[in-house]
Amino acid sequence: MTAATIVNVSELHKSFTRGTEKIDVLVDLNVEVAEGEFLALMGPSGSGKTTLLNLIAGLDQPTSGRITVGDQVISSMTESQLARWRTRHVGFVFQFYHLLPVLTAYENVELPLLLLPLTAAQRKRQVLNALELVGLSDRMQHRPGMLSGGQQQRVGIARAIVTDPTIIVADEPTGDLDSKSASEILDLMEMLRENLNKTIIMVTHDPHAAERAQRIVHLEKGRLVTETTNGDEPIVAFVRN
Amino acid sequence: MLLALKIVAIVVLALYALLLPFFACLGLAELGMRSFGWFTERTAPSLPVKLGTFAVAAPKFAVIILKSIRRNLLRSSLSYLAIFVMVFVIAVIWSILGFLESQTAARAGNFRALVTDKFQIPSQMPPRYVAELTREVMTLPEAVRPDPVKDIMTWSFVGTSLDPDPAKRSAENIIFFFAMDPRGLLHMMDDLEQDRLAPDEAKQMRDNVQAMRDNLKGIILSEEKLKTINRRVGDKLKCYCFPAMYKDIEFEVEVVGTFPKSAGRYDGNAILNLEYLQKALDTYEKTNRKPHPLADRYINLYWVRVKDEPTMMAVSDILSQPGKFATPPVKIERGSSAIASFLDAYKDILAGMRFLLVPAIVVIMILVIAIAISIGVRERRPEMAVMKVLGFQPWQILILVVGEALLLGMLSGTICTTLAYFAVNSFGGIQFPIAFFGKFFIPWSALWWGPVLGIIAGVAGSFLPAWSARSVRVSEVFAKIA
Repeated sequence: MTAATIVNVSELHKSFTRGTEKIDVLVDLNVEVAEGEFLALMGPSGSGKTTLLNLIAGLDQPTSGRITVGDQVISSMTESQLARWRTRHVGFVFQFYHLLPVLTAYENVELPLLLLPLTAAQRKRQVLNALELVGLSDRMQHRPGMLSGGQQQRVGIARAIVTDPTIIVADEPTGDLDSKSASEILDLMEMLRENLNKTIIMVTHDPHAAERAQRIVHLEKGRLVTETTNGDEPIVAFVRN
Repeated sequence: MLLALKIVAIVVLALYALLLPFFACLGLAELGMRSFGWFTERTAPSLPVKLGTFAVAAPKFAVIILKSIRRNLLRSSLSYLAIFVMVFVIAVIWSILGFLESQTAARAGNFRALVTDKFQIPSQMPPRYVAELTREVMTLPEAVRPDPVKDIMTWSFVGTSLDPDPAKRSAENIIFFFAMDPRGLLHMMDDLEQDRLAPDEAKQMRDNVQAMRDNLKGIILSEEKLKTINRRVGDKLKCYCFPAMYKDIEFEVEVVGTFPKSAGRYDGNAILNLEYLQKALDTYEKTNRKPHPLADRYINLYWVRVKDEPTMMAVSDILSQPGKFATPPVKIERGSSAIASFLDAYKDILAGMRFLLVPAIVVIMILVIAIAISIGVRERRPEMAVMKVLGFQPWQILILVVGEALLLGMLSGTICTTLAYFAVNSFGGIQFPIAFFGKFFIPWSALWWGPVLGIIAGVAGSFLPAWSARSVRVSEVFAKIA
């Protein structure tokens, strides 16, 4: 890897307790993501890929291990510190878009900026830029219900990038879209990486979507089993019996 | 069929009339918040960074809250209507209780002592007591001595019917008189005192009193009662006393005036000249060659306004001297205490209203809000989770939810008490005959405590759902969706 590491996951362990049973979701996981890299996380259901994504995005806290994003160790932050950190450093793209139905596209994109100390002009400029980047300048006053699935996901992406975050995390961003819209969304994500040098971590079940990433990490039962650089043969990165 | 259509039309119109202000207020509030946001966006750069951020974000959060209320208009409207009805019921109950409380509380600077028969209920004192009581009261030092015209009055209660047949007596044809010296009306009767009335109403009362003094048979009647019996000022009436009170006594009276509009508490009542009652009793004696059974005990209450508590004690001492006012013995108490004693018969129903009905309504109101907000929060858990992902702090999410309920409660409380205040008071008050009070009016103070009640119910009802919203675990919510 030539670029600097922006996400460093080290000896990560996450377990849940269901009744008296302890379930290990992630076990001693080590992953690094370079700045400007497009990484896909793949694996069967229950393999821990979404949990890993949530931990990297600061939505959950690990049982043990260390997660560093940029120069900050997020694994030891409190909930409110994480909330503040997320505002500036993480853009999240959801499978089901999760736009606020009562707000227009413009207001949805503007939402995270309300938490930042920006002037009205700065905020407006950032929202318009984000909407223009995703090609929805002409739909900014539309509510989510008046937009197609693909358009809603574009608004979701605009909302994710509007704060100019350190990383963009996407959980099945094409999972609810038809193939044409999915392809457009993936084009957009590639464009963000190429033109804006955005670091993107995407969870997907879809091999076609994963193909767009530069690197694919396969998880199984909470462990990293293979790591593939796009175009290469899969390599066994880590297997523990 | 026509009746059903009428009922449907009335219900639709009533709903429209109740909901229109709610929607208008929501719209105006959003417009106001957007305007405020426009203003703060231009002034925020001159403020310190944190304050500027807050000033810009606050109106936008308020708009989100307003939009959340508008999101499910049916649910919001039903919640609004439920709170509206409950605040209305509480406003009515509280108006009645508040008024009765004010009547039973001693008023500084307006001490009224009430002399009544010590043991007889209702009080019945001989007419000679009036002169004797007045004579004793006049022995007070000059500085605290009451004015015999302005500070003293007597009441005799006279129940009559316009129909001589007791079997045909009804609420419509009954007239209840206070028989008294008409001059007392200008100085001693609550809400009729000259200094409390508007100039035109004060003149109306002066004219009424003069007309009663000029015409012994002149009576003052409430406008409402005149309407009920389909008569007007100047008409003559024949009133037959209830046999249980003034058996075989009849009055041929003439309506010489009505109570001022602002004195709604006298609706249904009437004033008769005490002298006319006395003459009627004299006539009875002449005709029947024996005195009327009530001839020597027709004074029910003797009122005297005293300067202060010590003066009242002094009056009490005078009247309690051995040998004075012994047959029948009398007692003296504050007017407010007397009313309180009179209301004792109603104390269970009043306590039930105050301590059971009102708290029960408040609890139901809180539950209605809690249920409505809970449903909303449950539906919007993914949105709460998204907001958390975007960086919203738990307390900010809590405020968004509580704010929604608070606004709903405040709007319901405000609109309800404002409409109730103007509508109820304009249409003649609340009919609730209790003791000698027939009507009650919504006090102006309801205009502030109605909204406060709504706010309290909103905050109390939404707190648990809001706490649940603030505690949303993002990963769990999205795991469920997945």
